[in-house]
Amino acid sequence: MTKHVLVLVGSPRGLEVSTSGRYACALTERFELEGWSTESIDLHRAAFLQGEGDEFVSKAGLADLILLVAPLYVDSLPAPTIRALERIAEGRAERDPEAPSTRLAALVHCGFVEPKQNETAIEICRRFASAAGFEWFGGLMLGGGGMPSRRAARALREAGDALARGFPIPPGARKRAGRPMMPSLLYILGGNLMWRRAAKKHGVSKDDLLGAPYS
Amino acid sequence: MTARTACILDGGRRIGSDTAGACRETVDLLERRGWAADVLRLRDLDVAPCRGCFACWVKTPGLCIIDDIGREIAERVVRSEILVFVTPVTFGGYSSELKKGVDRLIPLILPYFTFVGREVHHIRRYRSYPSLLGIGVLPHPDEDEERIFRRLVRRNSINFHAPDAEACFVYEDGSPARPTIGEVLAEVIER
Repeated sequence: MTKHVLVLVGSPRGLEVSTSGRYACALTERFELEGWSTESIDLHRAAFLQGEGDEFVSKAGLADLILLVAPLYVDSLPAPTIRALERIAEGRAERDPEAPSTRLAALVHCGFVEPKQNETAIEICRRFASAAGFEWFGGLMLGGGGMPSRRAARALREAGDALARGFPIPPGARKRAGRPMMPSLLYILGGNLMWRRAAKKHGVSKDDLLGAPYS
Repeated sequence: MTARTACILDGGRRIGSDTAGACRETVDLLERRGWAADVLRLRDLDVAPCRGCFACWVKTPGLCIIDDIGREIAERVVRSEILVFVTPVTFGGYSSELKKGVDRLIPLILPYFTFVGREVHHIRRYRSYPSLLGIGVLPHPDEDEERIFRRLVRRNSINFHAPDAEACFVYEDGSPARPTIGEVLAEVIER
């Protein structure tokens, strides 16, 4: 029987243009080769829909594997993602304990250079798995604000390969993803330049960018 | 003399619920010490979720592009001396109701990076920020969830430049909790 992977994307920027969506694609590449069927859900939209929006709750229990991919928002998951997880956990409160268990793996990425800053969010995903009766298949943390990196690409490939073959995210992939992609000082200098350029594009001067409207 | 202000973000999800007792107790304790308590019950407020657009950093510095109560929440938070999060502990973290308010606090910091200790974080936008107190409501004691929650509060305090941060718990099954809300509040106020 065809196995099914449900990809829950937690970025408010949606499936197509977000870093989460891009990472989700990289993770699921292998699944298609291994004959899995895949479905992606935009949690930001689904979490605030009623009625038909509840579909993702039942779909979660029917999948063989759930991949949760989300950006780090203030040391945790974005509010709509948490809302969706609350609804899934509540929807599964009356679950059949005899039903085959769904596995859950998570990827959380952040705009800091240190992937380790995602640790609390990954712990929250692990606790969600336990509360909703899913089998925890591990978490992957990526830093660097979505900057392309060979090491991250390799970690995603390794994690996707293992999950598609029915194994948890391997420690090697976690370790590879968990290393900062560049020295912190270089990231600070490059990042600050990037922010200044982005503000300039909107006609915001260097001084205005420091504005404190509630002073 | 103007009373010192604590801003309480109530992240309770059910009506007549889980966080009401902890909020009431916090308000009482503050008022007894002569503080004003500014309580925002988030489930009653129509706060749009953060869009992750970074406009508050590069387009309208310090101000969220979404013109709703979320802007006022950020203002009331940064004008307070103590920020209290009251929430049902949800998978070790905050409820979605509390989080929708917390996500909208991003305009309070700058986009620029700097070192805080050995880690990279965003630079402060304001001269002062409130101390942070996290009050987690749990059905019963749970070591794992409490550890995650404490860590989350501590991490938030780094990112929001809080001069002080504490966490405590309230158990719905009546289990005794130490430290109590009163004890952590006293510590934060006295420091």
